[in-house]
Amino acid sequence: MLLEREHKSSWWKAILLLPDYIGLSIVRSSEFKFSFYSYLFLYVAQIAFYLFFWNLVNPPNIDGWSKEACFLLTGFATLNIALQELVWATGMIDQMILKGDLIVVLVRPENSYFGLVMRRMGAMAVIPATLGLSVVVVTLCFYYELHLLQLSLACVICIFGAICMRALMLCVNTLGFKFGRVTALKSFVLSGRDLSRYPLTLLPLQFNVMLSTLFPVLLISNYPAKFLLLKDPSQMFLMLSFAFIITVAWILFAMFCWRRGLKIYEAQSL
Amino acid sequence: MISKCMGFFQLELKQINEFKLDFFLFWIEALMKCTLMLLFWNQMWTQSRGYVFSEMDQPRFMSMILITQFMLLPYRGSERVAQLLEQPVISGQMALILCRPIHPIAMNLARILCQHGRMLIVALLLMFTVQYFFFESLTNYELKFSSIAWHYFIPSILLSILVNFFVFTGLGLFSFWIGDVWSLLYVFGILAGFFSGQFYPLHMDSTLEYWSRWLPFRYIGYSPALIYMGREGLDELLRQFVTATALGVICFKGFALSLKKFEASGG
Repeated sequence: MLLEREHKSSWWKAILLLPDYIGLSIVRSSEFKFSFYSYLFLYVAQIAFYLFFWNLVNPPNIDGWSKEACFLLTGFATLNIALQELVWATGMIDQMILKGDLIVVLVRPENSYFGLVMRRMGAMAVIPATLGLSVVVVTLCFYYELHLLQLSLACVICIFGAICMRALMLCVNTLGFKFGRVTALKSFVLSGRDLSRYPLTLLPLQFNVMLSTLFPVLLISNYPAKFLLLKDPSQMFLMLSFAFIITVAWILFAMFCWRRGLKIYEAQSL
Repeated sequence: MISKCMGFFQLELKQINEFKLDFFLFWIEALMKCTLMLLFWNQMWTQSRGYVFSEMDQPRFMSMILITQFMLLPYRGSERVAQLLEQPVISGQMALILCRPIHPIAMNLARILCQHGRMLIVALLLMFTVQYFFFESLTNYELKFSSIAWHYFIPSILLSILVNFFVFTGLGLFSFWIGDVWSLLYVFGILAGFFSGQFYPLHMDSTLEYWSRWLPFRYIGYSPALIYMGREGLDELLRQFVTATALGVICFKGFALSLKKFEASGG
């Protein structure tokens, strides 16, 4: 029955509720002022430290990764993490499964997963996302050339990266339907964020394949930064297509896992 | 406190048995990150064709990263230390804890000594195994067990547990004033990441190395690694001891001060 409702439930209704969810999120974020300001300070500190770090390391253009390219990497990593924060509730689904709270979302008329994520959205993550994007734009203006179309497409790859990581997180959470506690696995996925701050395309090919498909951290920051440095349109098209295919594959896999998880949930009469 | 330690140690062993998957995943994740970090720096050195990243040569640089990573492994997820103070304060159960005959910080220390002690033993066993079988092939640096100053290294790793405990307990004390300290923990996490030698050896830059002496993060994992590698000795151990003592005094005094605030607000 839950699965039938899941099929009939409307994405459109969730989208109509979006302005209310955004308003609610802003009120909730600014409720605890100290947490809000220190959260923003956290992002600023992260950017400052990583810029300082790459300035200190000063890599001499290793496989395209110069100091400036690493600045771009830092900007995209911040942008991506902020985008992931926007839908941070994805990481809490296992707790809802354990507590049995999921039923509250499942009986509502809007799409369960979308509704679940949106009603707890972190709208204020737009601020650090803008900070990350500013780092990219300033680096481009000072060290490279700013092409708006290329930048927009690089941002699209970055968004693909955020979708892939959240889809991966959803798959991990869906294991909660079967095993209950998945905290260690979630921390495993979250640690991918730290890795995204390094030029991992330098690693051997087999690592590159693994980190762009099975554990797609390269899509977070490495590919967007590399995309901005490309000159050949065919190479750009290839990279964009590859990122798109990986994202579609992850979305389909996550939807499959979510629906299977709901079946298990229903079989347990919850 | 010793009897408390024994009790907490038994609890730790029970928890490992209960959450086997979590325990193994924790170590797999930590080792994977360690391997990736090592691979990353190896590629940087190899592909840079002669570019020098630090005053150390490549073998020393790589071995320093490897040993520091192992030394920091037990302290992953140290925010739990701050939560030991934060949660009773927020839930209002601090009054109950204060009724107990043991000082709350001493009780938390007993718990953390067992938790981090257990993880430190696993990390050291892993490190010795790696050193014996793979160290030279991984880093091109020959490090013999006989050349290690054990009389400095063992006190240093014990002091590192204390420094880590006092840093996070100090942060936990802020919960008496501001409630939720998660945001502070995150900011400190970044600072710790940069000044603990986790991502790169602090000796990469002499200015950075000098200033890191004035922050406690260096004394958590980097100091034991320096002593293990034979780069530092008694001086570093003394600095670590002074830091641990100063942080300990700040924590106990800070706790007394925070209790006044707690009492004044009817806690």
